[in-house]
Amino acid sequence: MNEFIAALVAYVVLGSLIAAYARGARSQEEFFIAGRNVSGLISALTYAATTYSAFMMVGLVGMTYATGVGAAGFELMYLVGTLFLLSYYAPKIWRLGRERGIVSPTEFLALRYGETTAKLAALIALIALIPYTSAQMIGVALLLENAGLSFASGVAVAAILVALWAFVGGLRGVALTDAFQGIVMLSAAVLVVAYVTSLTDFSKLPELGEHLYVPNSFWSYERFAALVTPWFFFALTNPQVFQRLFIPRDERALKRMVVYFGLFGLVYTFLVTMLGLELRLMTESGEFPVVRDRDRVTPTLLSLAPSWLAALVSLSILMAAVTTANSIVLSLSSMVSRDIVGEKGVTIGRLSVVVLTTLVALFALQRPQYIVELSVTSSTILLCQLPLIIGYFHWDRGGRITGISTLIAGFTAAIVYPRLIPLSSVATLLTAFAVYAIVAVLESRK
Amino acid sequence: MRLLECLAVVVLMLLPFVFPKSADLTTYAYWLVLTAAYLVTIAVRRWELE
Repeated sequence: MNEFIAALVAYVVLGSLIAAYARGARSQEEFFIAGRNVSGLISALTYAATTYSAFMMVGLVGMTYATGVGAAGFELMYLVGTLFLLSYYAPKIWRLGRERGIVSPTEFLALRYGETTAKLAALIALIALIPYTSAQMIGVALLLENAGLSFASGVAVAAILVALWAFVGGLRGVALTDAFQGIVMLSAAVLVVAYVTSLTDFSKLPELGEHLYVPNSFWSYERFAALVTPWFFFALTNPQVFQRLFIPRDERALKRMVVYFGLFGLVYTFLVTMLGLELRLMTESGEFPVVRDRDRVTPTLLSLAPSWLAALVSLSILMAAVTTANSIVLSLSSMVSRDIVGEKGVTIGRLSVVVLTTLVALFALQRPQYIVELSVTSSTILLCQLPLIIGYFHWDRGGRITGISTLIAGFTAAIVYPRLIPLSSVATLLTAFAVYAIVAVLESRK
Repeated sequence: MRLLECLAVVVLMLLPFVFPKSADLTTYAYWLVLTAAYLVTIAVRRWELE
């Protein structure tokens, strides 16, 4: 555990130095989107570090261990969906951002659907993402709890880590710290897979049985569709990644961002899912304990791995959580600053970083039992924006009333449907699109 | 055209659900290779702004 504390201290010092180097943003454009002047490589690394949370090294490893290769299909379906959406919409959104001076992700909606729609979308994003960000903070606090801190102290440290670099360096600070954290996340994954591979007997592979194909007892068509739907559109519906489409310095940097992110995602997904499969194989061979709770698979591995490797992987999980959480907090702060309050400077934006992080920490301190369900619901809630984004580029009908009705209908459906019907994410999406189409036609006739 | 591309990608990703069930890494490798091939496709083709 001493190695983990030493690595954590080095990480905090290095991250703080990088954030201090990036300080000094005065304008909103500089503070929230790094002056639209980020290289392709740094844009790709911050996009990857923001996207890939602690879910990968904890949740996806456990999911692959428990349910088999279907988990890889689920994650890769997200990746191809993102690549498709970005290769088509990213150039349009990037150009629109420059031409219209767009900074916050929901500001884009105001162009067609009015400021009320943008405000409402910002409020919905706040409601959806505070529980999701709390889940990241709880993950960090649990890691620190293993290092000897109390849960409350762990949440406090996590809150400081999340807020500090965003407050000091704005998006440039977050992007640069994300870049080095992304490299550590990938390196730790390579090392832990190399270590586990050296212990795995692949001749026992056929014993994995239904873990090697789909459909199986877990991955039915319906479950795959229900889980994939919100994530397939993640690149357009989640503000923290949508806002990153504004940051590349030119067209070449934009394309590099998408391609390098795709490469990062493919390699990281391969490593994480291979780790889950190898651990399952080791369990079948009697070389790794049977783990019933799939979220305990990675912690069990870390308790058995060499201490330096456990420290590095623990730090990479902490980094994955911090990079996701601080990007969300900064993105939400830009919405508060520009869409809700309408300030011209960055004072309220900076203050919002602190206030929102405090709210997230207070939520995390409650340790709600329903945090996982809330986190899943958050991605479905954000689907309500999708018809408005797609419609902006492909259909010239609909305005303020269409924007407001679609958001309210989609939000309500995301909350109500999971209690009533299966495939609730698909039904939510269909409801939002249906309301959008009907109201847009009626509004255009007026 | 883009809608067709999206449909093709989704259908190809869903194909393992109708593959013969085999206790090897065919399904896993198929998904990885398909994703890599799509990444190469978008990397080499011209984008709207190029």
